[in-house]
Amino acid sequence: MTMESTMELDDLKQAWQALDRRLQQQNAINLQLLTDSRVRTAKSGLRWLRVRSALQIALGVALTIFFALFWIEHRDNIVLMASGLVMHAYSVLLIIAGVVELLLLIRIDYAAPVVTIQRYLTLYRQWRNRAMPWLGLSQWLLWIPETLIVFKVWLRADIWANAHEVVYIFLAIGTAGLLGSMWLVYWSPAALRRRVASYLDETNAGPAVMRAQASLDEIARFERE
Amino acid sequence: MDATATMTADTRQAFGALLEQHRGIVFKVANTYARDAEDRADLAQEIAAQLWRAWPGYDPARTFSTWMYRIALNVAISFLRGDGRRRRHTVPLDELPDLADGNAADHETGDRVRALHRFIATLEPLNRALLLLYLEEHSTRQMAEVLGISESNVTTKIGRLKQRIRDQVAPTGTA
Repeated sequence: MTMESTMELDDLKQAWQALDRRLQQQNAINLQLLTDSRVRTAKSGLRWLRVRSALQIALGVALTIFFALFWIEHRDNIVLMASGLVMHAYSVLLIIAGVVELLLLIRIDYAAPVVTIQRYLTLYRQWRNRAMPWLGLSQWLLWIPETLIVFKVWLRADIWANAHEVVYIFLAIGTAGLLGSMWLVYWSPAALRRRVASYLDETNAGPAVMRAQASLDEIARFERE
Repeated sequence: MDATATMTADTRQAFGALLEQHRGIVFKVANTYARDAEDRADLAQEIAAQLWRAWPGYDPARTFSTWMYRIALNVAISFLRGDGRRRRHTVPLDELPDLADGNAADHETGDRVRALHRFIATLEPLNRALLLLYLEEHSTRQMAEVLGISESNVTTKIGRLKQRIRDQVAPTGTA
């Protein structure tokens, strides 16, 4: 055989069988090692994600009711009503996000065909990767209506009515934080941006979105003849 | 309460016996998707744990090996894709088992195995699953059932794999 010689799939089959025989002798992995911790990890993976989604939906429902009652009660105060409406909308988004996640997670059954399950897993990852950065960034502004509502409900104090300038300062801080975060992610020097992207990648964002999309494209290609 | 927690000793024994009987599937999938010995052991354990977890839902009317392949491949592909820090896609040649016992035929086999591993490392996770099932001599129908694609699609993809092998694979060290 020469360097230029090529191989056929059936040549690889012979190589595969040879490798298999050798690995059978060498594999010292004990499959009976179904230790409690290993099984617990396997059990808790998807189950914990389902519980987290269910809790998110429950929290979203409770907050939706709370904020709806709040803005209805303060229809005569435009700033408080707007704060309640913004938080109401955010709570509805929490519910929608939780339901989407739960529906995807419920469909994940490892005993189902490989292409189907890989698509659901990738869709789930892509959903998390896309939703999480926006949920994070929105907190830079959402804390402002949250603060106005908390002061009104628990301290009976209307910050806007008593000190407009405090709300303007809140808005300035929130906008600066939002722009700062966006600068770090999109406009900072390349070296810093890479470090931020690497951190975001670990926390379900950034390049992970592209990887999830690449996986979905690969699955779609595989399904096509 | 989780169904596996309530399984009887007989059920555990039945699962253990079936796992032992088909343990080759776990090793082959782990060897195809994991890079080194540590990852292989880790993946094999992960597959075994997921099989145990899914066992209460197994329908005895269905083929055990098909059920097992689906779970093993799903776990392995997730293992490959899921951990950004995990080294992936390549199998270092120095970690392949030594197949040569000194004679020319063994050297040739060793070269072929290395060529096979290099080729596997270039494949996307789903094509890797298809190649594994083909090398294990599964029928087109079985491959379609495990992967969840049509039989004609399996045939087409096998044809493309053959072409890729002709184009890309040549044993090294055989000048």
